[in-house]
Amino acid sequence: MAVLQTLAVTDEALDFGAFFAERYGRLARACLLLTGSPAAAEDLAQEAMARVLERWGTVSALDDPEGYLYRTALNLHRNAVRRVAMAARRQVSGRELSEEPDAAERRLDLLRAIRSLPRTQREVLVLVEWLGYTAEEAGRMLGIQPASVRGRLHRARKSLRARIGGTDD
Amino acid sequence: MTDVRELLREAVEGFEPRGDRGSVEGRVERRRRRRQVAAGVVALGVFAAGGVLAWAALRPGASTTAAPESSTYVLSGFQVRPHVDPASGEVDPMRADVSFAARWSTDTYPGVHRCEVRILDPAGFDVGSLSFELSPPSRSGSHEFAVPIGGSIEGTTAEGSCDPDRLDAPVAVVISGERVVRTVDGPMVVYDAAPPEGTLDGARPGAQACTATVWGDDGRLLGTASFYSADPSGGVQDVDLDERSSLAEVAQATVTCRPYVREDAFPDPKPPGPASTRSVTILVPDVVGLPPSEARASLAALGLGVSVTAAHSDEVATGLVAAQQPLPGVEVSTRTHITIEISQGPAPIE
Repeated sequence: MAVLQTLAVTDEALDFGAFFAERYGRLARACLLLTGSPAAAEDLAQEAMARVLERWGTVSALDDPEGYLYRTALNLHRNAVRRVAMAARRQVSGRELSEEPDAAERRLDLLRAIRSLPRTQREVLVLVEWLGYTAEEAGRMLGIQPASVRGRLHRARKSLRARIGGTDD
Repeated sequence: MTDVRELLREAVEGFEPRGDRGSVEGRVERRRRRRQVAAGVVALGVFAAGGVLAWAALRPGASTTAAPESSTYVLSGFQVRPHVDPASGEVDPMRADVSFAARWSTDTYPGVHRCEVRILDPAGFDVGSLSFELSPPSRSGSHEFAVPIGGSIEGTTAEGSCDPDRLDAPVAVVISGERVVRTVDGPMVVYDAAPPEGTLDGARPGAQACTATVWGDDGRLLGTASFYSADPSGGVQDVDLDERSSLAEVAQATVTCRPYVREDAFPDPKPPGPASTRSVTILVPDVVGLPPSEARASLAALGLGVSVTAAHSDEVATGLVAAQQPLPGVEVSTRTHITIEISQGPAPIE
């Protein structure tokens, strides 16, 4: 441990402040797609960042600290004990996104449609379609084979198109 | 940009994350302090083995069954656009779409509404109207209509309004026929719903807050999902499995609904019925093209038995699954065996 610390200090260690400033926005937006609610997204993103900060010595020395950050966020989201209770409250508390009301309704519809997908599909949608990871990279982060990633992605895209395409007819 | 990526982009637009480093550091500090306190206390797990205790702990206070404040749908943001045929991508001059936003007048979740939208020509005269139903959780809508003969949609506008179409005293729909399908994405619960006995003709239950739960053979709670249902006739709901549970254990499902009333909590999970009513099937996944180890794992996770044979295949690379029986998408019983054929490569040329 002491050796690792020394190396970290002398090796121009990545500063957590800089890491946070550079990555938080993108992380929070990905969490918005995962959770479907702005409040839950911020909560999840901050919690993931907090876990990373706690282990900063180790994480900053990894090849891919950002990958670790997203893996952490996904695990937190999966294990969220309060996920359902939070979603229940947020779904109704209305417009927290700040822009004109009509566009807000459309966005809420979209977020809800995304959130209605099975979690496994949402995860690959966020990792591959939104964040731009490859199927191989996403597979490593989720602990599944790239072929499984592709299968889930295919179903996710199909489901999402079907849900968004639906009108009130 | 793929169309799906465009939808995702649209979904997050306008979101301004507010988190700052200070709040993150605050969390770390609070956790550190909590660990110190917990070290000296016997920790009471929030989640007892049964799971139902957890619901009691999380439920926010006493729930009310008072009648809801009357909230209605308010339509706005009308736009009339030419209709594009989805198949050909061409504009259809005979048809147009009117789209709108549908806001709730209060924070209360409105029930089913009957709406009328009038299409107006540039002079403001009524040239047609549309009648349709709107129900939570919809917050927007789009409808097609026929362009008046000889007319164009240039300068055409629309206006409309909605009226509640529900019982004044909200009632819970009656759930029946619950069954669970194990799919590769997790458990999927299927159920029927109907208005309760004695419901007046033409009256309907309002939006419902429901809980779908999946259980093991031993009555253990394996996963749960909370959702809103606007359609009183039933449907399908995906359920997230608890991390510690496995899909192969899922043996039955229950659904329970209650009328949605302002920021309400969802109903507690309905306990499972007697063993004789258990109903679980498995949706056969697509394992063609996968390595055998992964195919086996995927099938075993669902609780399916696997038999392996070999066969030549021109399409699938050697060593991967070339074919499966039954085919993907078939719903089978839990005792079913899947046969996978491993590709031996193309048949040798004589």
